[in-house]
Amino acid sequence: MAQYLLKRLGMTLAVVLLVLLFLAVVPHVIPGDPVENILGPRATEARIEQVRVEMGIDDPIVTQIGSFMWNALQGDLGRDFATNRPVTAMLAQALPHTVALAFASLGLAVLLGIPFGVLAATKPDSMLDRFTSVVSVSFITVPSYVMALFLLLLFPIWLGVLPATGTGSLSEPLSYLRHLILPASALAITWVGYFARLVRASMLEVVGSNYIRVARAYGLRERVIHYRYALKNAVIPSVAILGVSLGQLLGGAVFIELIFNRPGLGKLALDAIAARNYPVLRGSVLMVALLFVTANLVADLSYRFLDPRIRVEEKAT
Amino acid sequence: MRATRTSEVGRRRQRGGRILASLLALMLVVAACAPDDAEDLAVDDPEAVDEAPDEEAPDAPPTPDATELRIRTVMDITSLDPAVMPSTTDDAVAMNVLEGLVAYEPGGSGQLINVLAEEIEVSDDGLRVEFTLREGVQFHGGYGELTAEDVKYSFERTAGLIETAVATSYASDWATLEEVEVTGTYTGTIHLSAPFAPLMINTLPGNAGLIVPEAAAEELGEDFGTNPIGTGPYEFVEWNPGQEIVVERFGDYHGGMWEHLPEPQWERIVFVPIEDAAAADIAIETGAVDMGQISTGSVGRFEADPDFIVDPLATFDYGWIGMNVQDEILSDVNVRRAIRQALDIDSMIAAGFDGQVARAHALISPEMPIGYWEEAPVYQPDFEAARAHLDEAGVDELDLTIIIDEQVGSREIAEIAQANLAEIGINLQIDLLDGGEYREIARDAQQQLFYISFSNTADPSWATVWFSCEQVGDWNYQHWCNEEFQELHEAALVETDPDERHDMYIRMQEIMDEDAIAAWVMYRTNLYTYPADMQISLVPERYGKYLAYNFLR
Repeated sequence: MAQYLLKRLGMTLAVVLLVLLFLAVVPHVIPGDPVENILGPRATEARIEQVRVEMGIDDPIVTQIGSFMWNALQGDLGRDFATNRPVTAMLAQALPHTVALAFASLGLAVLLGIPFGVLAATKPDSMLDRFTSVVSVSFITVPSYVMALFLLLLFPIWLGVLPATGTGSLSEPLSYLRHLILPASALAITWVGYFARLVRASMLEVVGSNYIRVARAYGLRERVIHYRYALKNAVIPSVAILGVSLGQLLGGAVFIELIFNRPGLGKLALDAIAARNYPVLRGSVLMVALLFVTANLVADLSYRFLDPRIRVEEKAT
Repeated sequence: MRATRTSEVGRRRQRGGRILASLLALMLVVAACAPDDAEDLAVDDPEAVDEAPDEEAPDAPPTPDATELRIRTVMDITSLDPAVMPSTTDDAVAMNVLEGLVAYEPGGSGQLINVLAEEIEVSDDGLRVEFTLREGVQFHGGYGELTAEDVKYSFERTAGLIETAVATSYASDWATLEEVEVTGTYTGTIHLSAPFAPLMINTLPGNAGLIVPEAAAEELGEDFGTNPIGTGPYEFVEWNPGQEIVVERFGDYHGGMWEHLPEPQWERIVFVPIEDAAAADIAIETGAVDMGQISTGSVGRFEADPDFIVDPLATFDYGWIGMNVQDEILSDVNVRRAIRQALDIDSMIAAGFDGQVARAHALISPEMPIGYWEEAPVYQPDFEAARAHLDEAGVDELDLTIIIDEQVGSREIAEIAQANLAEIGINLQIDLLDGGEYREIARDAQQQLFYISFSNTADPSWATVWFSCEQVGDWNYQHWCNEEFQELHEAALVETDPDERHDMYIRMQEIMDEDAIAAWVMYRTNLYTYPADMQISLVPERYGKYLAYNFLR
């Protein structure tokens, strides 16, 4: 186990280093000078020069890449050269909004998707199964931004409930949650369908296995069989894709943050791209990458934790 | 007030339709994966208006709060430091927090009013400006009383005469400043090395004339821009990046503005940056903000709703299709004339801006106090005449490229130009570039045709400067250097007689027309929308802006 953990951590570190290297190189392969672009036509030579020096743009490329990576490893991601704020502070401000959104969506997806899948698997090919299939497949095919617009139309505009834009303040948790409902639902909907389909498929597989037949022979109630015995095994593939889905959610969050005007990581990155604000862009992409690899690592480890067979097989080899 | 309303009939229907159309617009933007330029939307779908299921529409917007004003801004702030202040959003916020010696009277009279100055007088030779400050003016944040030393510091800092943490961007607004002499606690004299015509038009009433306390600016250095200290009726309280910028009533305000305006009702003014235009429409519609700029595509829908007023405000900003005269093909004036003659500008305005901007015939807009060329020729597409110009140049079947960036209307303009030029045997390729790449290509004269728009301030010199010889290889993307134009541009900067200056700027535009360096497209209009029970206060001389605290509800 320790060996596996080490190997897995090593791989994660390698990915992070690769991302860092990529981010260090990016500004040098994209055409265009960010400085003049941002400061506008009326900036004096002195101001342009000042910002260029601050950004280290005139240093040799290798020096720039080296110092970026070295500083990044020490937790210094530079400063936003437009507002002079440290990038790490900007990330710290944006991160909670994105994490809250991602976890709220994931939570919703799991809470709704899994019972949905189990329900469908209890009576395969029944009307109920067909109905849930249609619903889950439709959920999967609706892009989150379309769902976002539909929800916007339905709740804040027609019904006049729930806020349409912004995040509310973290110091007022209730208001914050109210602001979170629509964006999280919009982002979750695809995954509700996806989890439902996945759980249904693996449930059907598990229900056909010997130990379930034994359970039936013992006369256990169907509900107990499904939720206590079958689900335990059937849920493992879903856990495995949790990590991947978190990454996908972070990608989808860009659109959702734009539509709901939430100042999260996605919006930060998007604005940074538009402004050629490299320090901010690097910081936000790095943060997304870190979230992604961490989620994958956790999913990997929890997978082994949930399924003792993997551990047993490892010992046997 | 320029407002537009329609009858009560069909109002609910229209409102539902407008929202649906906003959503569709938002969806299109997102679906196209181009979620950037705030004003980049143009969806006007009459079908959607008719089919909207809207019976459930709540009639009353949320009860307005009479002490808090919320305004949508197109972008977030970057710096409110008057020496750097890069964007119009920065400026809109700064107008509540920072003050200068004088300001334009809100409402568009064009008159200057004294703010921090008790008296101000320009000498006959235009080389000295003597001022006396209002006494007892306090800076925010306990930075003490305003003195002539702060005026000296602020002006010399923006002019780049003293070394500071942030290098100034606006030295050219103080091009001929020699020094500010402090003659007493509250008195001083601005000394110029040569008369400077924009001084009382653009410098003193504009950004470059804003006054900051020396102590705060030195103490905060680069952070002053996001923690600005001024003397204005509102003090800067908080900035939550991407969410809101909050200013609150300043208890020790000197009251100078209240000699000209009623005292404001707002305890707090909150600026909410919403970059996406369709998201902004929804925020205005649901009452999440009280007022904001909308895109040209939303005008019709908001105008049809009696609950809202759309207030168009013409600006000095201008957009044009420029031609790089250093290009081999375009160096021939007859080719340039042929292109200008073939372009259908009216269609470009209809397609690119939903007809919501004014067509430009020359560089200076009619809103500018001086320099508007009324008799400028209006070119309508005439393919015969255009072909005749090409014959004169001795060419046919040309291949040309136009570069555009993500600016509003660019694509439509380029596509119409492509169709127009095809009629006269010119094959036009369209290159859509991002801002940085566009700038590099245009600066280095690698382009042929280009569409771009520039913002502009209340003096025509800030438009002509970009066509001057010293800007070739920088912002003069035509790479055009005309001796007579250059001389006139320089002379007009020091000429103080407005009539003389007016004639000079007309002549400059005639030269541009003779040399056919551009096909003028539009003068931008800012479209502000707000609930019908509100009155807003516009200050056209400040680049088409508004004075937030003077709004009424």
